[in-house]
Amino acid sequence: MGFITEIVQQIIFGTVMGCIYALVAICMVLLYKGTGILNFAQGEMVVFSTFIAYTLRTGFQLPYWLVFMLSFIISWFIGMLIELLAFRKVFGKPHLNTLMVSIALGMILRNATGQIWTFDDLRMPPPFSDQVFQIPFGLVISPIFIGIISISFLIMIIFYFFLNRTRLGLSIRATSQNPTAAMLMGVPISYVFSMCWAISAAIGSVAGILIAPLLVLNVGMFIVVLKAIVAAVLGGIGSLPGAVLGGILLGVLENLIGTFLPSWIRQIFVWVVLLGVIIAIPQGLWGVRKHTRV
Amino acid sequence: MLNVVGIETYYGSIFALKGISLEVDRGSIVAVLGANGAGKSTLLRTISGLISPSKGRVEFEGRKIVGMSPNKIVKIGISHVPEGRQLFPEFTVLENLIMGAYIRKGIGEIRKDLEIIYRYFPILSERKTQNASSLSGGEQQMLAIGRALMSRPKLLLLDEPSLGLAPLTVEGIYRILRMINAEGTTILLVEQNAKLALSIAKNGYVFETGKVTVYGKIDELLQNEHIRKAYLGK
Repeated sequence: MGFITEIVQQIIFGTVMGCIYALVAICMVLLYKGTGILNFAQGEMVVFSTFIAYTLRTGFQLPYWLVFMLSFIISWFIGMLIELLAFRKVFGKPHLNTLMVSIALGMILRNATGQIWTFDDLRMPPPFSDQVFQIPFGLVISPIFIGIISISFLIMIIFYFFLNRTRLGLSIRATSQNPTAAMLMGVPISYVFSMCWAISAAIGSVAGILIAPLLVLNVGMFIVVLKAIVAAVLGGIGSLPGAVLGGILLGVLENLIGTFLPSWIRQIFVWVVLLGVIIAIPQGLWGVRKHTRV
Repeated sequence: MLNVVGIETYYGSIFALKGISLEVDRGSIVAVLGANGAGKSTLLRTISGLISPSKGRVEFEGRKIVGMSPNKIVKIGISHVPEGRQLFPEFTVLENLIMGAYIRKGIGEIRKDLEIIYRYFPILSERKTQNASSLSGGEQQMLAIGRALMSRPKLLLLDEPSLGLAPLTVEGIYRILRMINAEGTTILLVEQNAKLALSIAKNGYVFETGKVTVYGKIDELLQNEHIRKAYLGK
């Protein structure tokens, strides 16, 4: 394989991973913008949902389209439950409080996942064939890559229209700019918060089902998913298009680095990016100057 | 129309309102005067449901509204133009106005009301596609008032609409407030600028550190020695 081919191939692999980062990053940005909470438990939420999907698929033998739908719906309600039980009471409290709650939530979910299912590794059956095909120029591709990329983009497009064209989307955007004003306009903001959690849990479940077959499904998968936080920061946390671009860029860079540099560099790469972005360009690559929440 | 009886509100551990009672008649303009920190804004925030009092009652058209959430309170006809305007900075002027009509249905009616707001404040029509954050202070205040009117309130709560604005702008805004009132909207106005408030209101209340010290008809207030000295500089 030529050098150029290798690069292009790794960009394809990277885009696949990048789409997953992008999906999870928009969940985190939605929560951050909508409710003011940076959710460190997003990774664990995704893993929990993925285990549910695993059971639906391998235990109940449901067809995959139904697995996607059911785990989307179940995760939706889990998101609402999390908001109600863990976050409703800390709304408007300092960031430190909400941060601690999200870290504790992550720990609880991680252990709950292990206790309910297993702490061992599982093999998640792929929703699309993971057979590899040769295509021209010496490249290889697999239906699962195409599936991941198309479903991710489909969700992002639906999400975009949801935010910009629906009443709930409008309420979320208004609440994110000024919760007090939104309340005074008649927006039921606890409903808005609840929906933000529902949506990010549900979208996260799709990301988990899509990526788990390419990884090992276990409790530790949260750390892979949590890398999306770097994508969100890279895109300028608070910017949804930034989160998508940040996610894809991160996936691609990570793969290229993993190919050409020793693997320990790949391991720390994203976290170095996180540090670097926060120190050097805290507004992110596509972030706009934010209005401080008062 | 609005009856506030013996309201006590804490802000954290600070006693912000120490037993406030106040009455607003349908169709009137009532002014609340007082220095910074006297509890004027706290009163409005209590009425619109943003904070709940620890004691006392608030009745609107005979209905108890303490404990109702702000979104319900808007629905029954109270609209609050808060301190500092609180616009949606990333929304355009038009989007801000549309947000004001959030609780309403019926595009046709909403459109008609938009035209009314544009008639009150023609500058908003010129700026309708601009982001709210790009407006001048006066324009922002007009937008905040316009947005509040889009919910078709029976009672409009106004928190210092003159704050930080040029006298000419303030004059314009007050002229519109008179029109809004003449067309049937009751107004409860909080204002530090006593002269201004007394020029428009029918009744007035003076707040000092969370208590009503003087209240009555405007003519009586204007005669009151204490008010003349403390608030009108005479």
